[in-house]
Amino acid sequence: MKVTVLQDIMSANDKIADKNKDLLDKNNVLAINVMSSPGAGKTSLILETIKRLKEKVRISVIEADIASTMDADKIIKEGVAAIQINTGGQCHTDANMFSAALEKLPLADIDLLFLENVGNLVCPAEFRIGTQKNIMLLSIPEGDDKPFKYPLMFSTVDAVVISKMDYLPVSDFNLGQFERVIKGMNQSVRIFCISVKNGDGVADWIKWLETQLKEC
Amino acid sequence: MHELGITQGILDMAITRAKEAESKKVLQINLVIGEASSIVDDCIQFYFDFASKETLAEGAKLNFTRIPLQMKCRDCGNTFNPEKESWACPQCQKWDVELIRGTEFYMESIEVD
Repeated sequence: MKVTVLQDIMSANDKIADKNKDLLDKNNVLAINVMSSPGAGKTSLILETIKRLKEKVRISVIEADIASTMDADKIIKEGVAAIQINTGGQCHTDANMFSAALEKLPLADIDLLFLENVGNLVCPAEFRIGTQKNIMLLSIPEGDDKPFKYPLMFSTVDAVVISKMDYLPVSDFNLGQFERVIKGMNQSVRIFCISVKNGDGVADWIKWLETQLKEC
Repeated sequence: MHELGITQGILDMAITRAKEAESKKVLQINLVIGEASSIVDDCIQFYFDFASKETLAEGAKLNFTRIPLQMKCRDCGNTFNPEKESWACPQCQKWDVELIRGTEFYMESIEVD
């Protein structure tokens, strides 16, 4: 006998993600899911953001890695509360892990929460976790062909931060073409071109964050 | 490598639906997966065979229907399957395209006894 189901496989995860979002909204916390390949500069971007905003905004960070606490240690050095979740081999953070991490945070005392996801352009795109904004970084050395390889990630994020822009002069990365591709498939995406190393473009990113905080 | 968690979700969903239908055994599970999804079919069946042991879905066969990427040009309305390294509309060469199919991931039905 055939039984029609027609149910999304991710529905159990998505239900928890919705609860997470409600909890964040209730506490006026703007949570941002930061995704990229390993080494694209997620931690550097978060650290730079902390430096520029920590006097005005109460920031906290959840670091997700397969193992180690290196990234959380760097954040804590900046005087910001960070907790590390080790995914124990899993390639992404799911809504359940995020929910467990949220329980450990004093949400009423946080304005801006970063979830630094596991370095991976594939799996994190499949798991909604309940953050209000989802962003990704793509660093210049990775190449401009990545949207074709990871369409789900590029088509679903709210913003793409093109990082390590200081490498552009020595790279064959076609910036115009890259922007055209991602804007074509993701009409509402915001694109930032930044170099944490020389500070270029970081102000635009900060301004965007401040706008999101006001709207939160 | 997130197939294990997903497999558990598939198993739970199939068992819940089978119980609702008052059946004793799940024989087949029909899944629809878009090409944009990174799920590896063989991996899911492999995990499923372990995870389903001593459940009413033990031994069930998973069938996968893959949906290719399909895009729609916002300019001329043409729908097309994109090439690997270009998503420009083959009809008008514009890049203003929308991904309309290929992100699906759902359980279509189950065969029960």
